[in-house]
Amino acid sequence: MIGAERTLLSYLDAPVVIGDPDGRAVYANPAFELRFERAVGRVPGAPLAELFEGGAREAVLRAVVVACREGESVRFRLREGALGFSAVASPIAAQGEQVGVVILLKEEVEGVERVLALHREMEQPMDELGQVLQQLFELPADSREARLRSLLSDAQQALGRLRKGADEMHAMLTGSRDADPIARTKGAGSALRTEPSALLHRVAARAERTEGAAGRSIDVVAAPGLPTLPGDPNRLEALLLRLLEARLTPEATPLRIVLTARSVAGSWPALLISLCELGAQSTAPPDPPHLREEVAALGAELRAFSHAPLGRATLLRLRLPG
Amino acid sequence: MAAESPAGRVARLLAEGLELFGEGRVDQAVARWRVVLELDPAQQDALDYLESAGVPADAGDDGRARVREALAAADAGEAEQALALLSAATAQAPDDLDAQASFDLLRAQLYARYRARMGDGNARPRLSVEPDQLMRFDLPPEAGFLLSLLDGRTRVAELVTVSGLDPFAVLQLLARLEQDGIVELAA
Repeated sequence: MIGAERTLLSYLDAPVVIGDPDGRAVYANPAFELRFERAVGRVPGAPLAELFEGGAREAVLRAVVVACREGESVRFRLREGALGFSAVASPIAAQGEQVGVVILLKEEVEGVERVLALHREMEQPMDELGQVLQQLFELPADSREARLRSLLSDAQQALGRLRKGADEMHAMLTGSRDADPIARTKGAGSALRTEPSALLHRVAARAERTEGAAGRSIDVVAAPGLPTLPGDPNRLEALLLRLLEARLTPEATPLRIVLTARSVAGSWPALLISLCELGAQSTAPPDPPHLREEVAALGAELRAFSHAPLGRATLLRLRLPG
Repeated sequence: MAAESPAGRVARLLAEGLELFGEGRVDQAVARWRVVLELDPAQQDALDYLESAGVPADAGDDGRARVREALAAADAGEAEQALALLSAATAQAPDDLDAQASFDLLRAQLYARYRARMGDGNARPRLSVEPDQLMRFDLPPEAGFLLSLLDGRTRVAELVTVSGLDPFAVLQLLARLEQDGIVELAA
């Protein structure tokens, strides 16, 4: 970067940091020094990790890695003390190679924070409503009338649309989704593909808030960059949540839950998603018929495996294109 | 083990197998020799030992048997060995969903164990040998890449993010590097 450009950046009111592909800072403007209380003179050559604290540090490093790897801008959010920032990390390309990344941070206005708070407040009642509807829907067939079943189905679909709208609103404001703080700025067509790692993080975050989780944390083991699945991400997300709900019943022994995803070849390319319940001593309960129907509708296969004392795993095999 | 050379691993597995065989723990001995054959299908010592144990050298036609062996190894506390066997079984029969599910279950078990050992991802790994001594360890490329990211301040959870690698692979590598005395984990 030439000196004149740096001079222009120094007049910007928004904090700017420029890094190299190795994760070292090359430049930070005075606005960054002011907001983040770092001595700009000591920035060049310092690891980017040293310029940020806690969760902000991880969010920045993730964004830099993804921006450099994929050559696309990455939006994310971070907090520094009492200040909230929406940020974008954009790769700098020269002669076909990624030679650095520029991070622009924009202080969030109060209104955005308020809408985000509203979104958080909406999530719990939506989850509760979804669970109630699901329980009603799963009542034995002879105890409900066809009309009631139809109404419940309509209500579930309406709730699905509401949740989708709320999630899109959240994503528009933050460029992020739930536990996955990074959203890539891609074309509109990318909305109908499912990125496995982000999907599992969303499912884990939602499931941890349910009563059945009983305070247990859910780990996710999925490499970034797994092949994406075609189709509506909400559909698979809903299926995995129902599978978790069917498994997450309070038990005497505290269990550790791990969600895994990986791709395999086999007769056809497939994505394997497993719900692993470590230490579970019994075989998995039979899956409700509606769950099996949903799995079949996705063209997927479900397999439960158990082995004491390891635990049990419920594996979902989904066909990948190609 | 990933932090040792393939030849070193073969030698270690052969020796461990003989020791286990001598102790009457035939299943575990056979499991080790089978892993050797995964690394080098023509390894004569492993073929001879299996023949001596009265076990077919090629269990490839019977993936189920290999899964059973792996689970027996896991039950005996040999989780890493079991994972290697299941990895081989699933590579050979990728459509065997029971094998795939057991592989995922064991991986999840090991992941939780590694993570607990690393302070739930909060430990800060750092080199415990001088950088110029690393050459003598004959490390695989991914281990070298991971070591290049260590600065003593970055937490394990952040390394997983920054590396872009499979989270399980990162934790497994770090655990092995620590076991080999190449890396130490600070709180």
